[in-house]
Amino acid sequence: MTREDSLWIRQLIEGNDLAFKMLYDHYSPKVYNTLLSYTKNAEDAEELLQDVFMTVYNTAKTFRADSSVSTWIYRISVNKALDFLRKKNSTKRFGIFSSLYKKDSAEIKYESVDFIHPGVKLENQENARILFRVIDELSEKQKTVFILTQIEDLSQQEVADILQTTRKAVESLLQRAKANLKVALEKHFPERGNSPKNPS
Amino acid sequence: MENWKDEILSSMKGAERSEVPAGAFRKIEQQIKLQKQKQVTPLRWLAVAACVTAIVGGNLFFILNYDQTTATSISNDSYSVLISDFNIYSNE
Repeated sequence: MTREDSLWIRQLIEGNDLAFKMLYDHYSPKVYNTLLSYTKNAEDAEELLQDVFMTVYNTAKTFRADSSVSTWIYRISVNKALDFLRKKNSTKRFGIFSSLYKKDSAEIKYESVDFIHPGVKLENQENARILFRVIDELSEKQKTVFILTQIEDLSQQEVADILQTTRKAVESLLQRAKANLKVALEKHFPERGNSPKNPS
Repeated sequence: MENWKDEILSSMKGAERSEVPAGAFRKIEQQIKLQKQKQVTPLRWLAVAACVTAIVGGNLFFILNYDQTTATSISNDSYSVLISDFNIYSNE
């Protein structure tokens, strides 16, 4: 696939829009699901998906073959998602000065996040809902490593390439992410450990 | 002991990918089209440059020739006055 998508990039640079469609068809599910894990909102994920592929279209010329197309597209996606969260958080911080309601509607802009990933198995839905509630307590890097390895199922080496770091660093970040998530779970859901279903 | 936490952490394992919204690619195509329309081609730049040069050149030409035109008209006026004065005296 690497050879094929490198060819698509070359064709895209030459102005072949069909190559762009092929690239989109191949990568959009991966990109969209990654963005969904960050944003926890289908509308925001779709908007960012468009943003990611516009960047791919406009910067294909700058793509260097020293990394794979997959790595490059994932890197763009992660950066866009993190930028989006930073902006969202800063807007929230200044929320005292701005309306909490969307313009022209009574809908609340910052709804409490109770996200259920559309692809999750029915029996795991409650656990996944809890996971997405505590995942925001992680730092940007820990969150990225956790999402890419545990949700997107990428290898540690692939994640290391995306983050331009070493596999060891990714392994360490993942361990810390898991430890921090466990602390957050104990803090926010102490009753889960005492339930008869899950004796702790 | 840590079972419940591990279960939560691995709850996304084996999850299916959710489908990309159907109209997303069409929206991207529209954005690209709009971007292309907004883009200024070299030919358009050339046309803009030609217009600016013509306007600036025209104005410069007018400014540079303005003094000469007024000077000529003034001298012509004084000459005609002299002629008319001469005519008046010659009639008397």
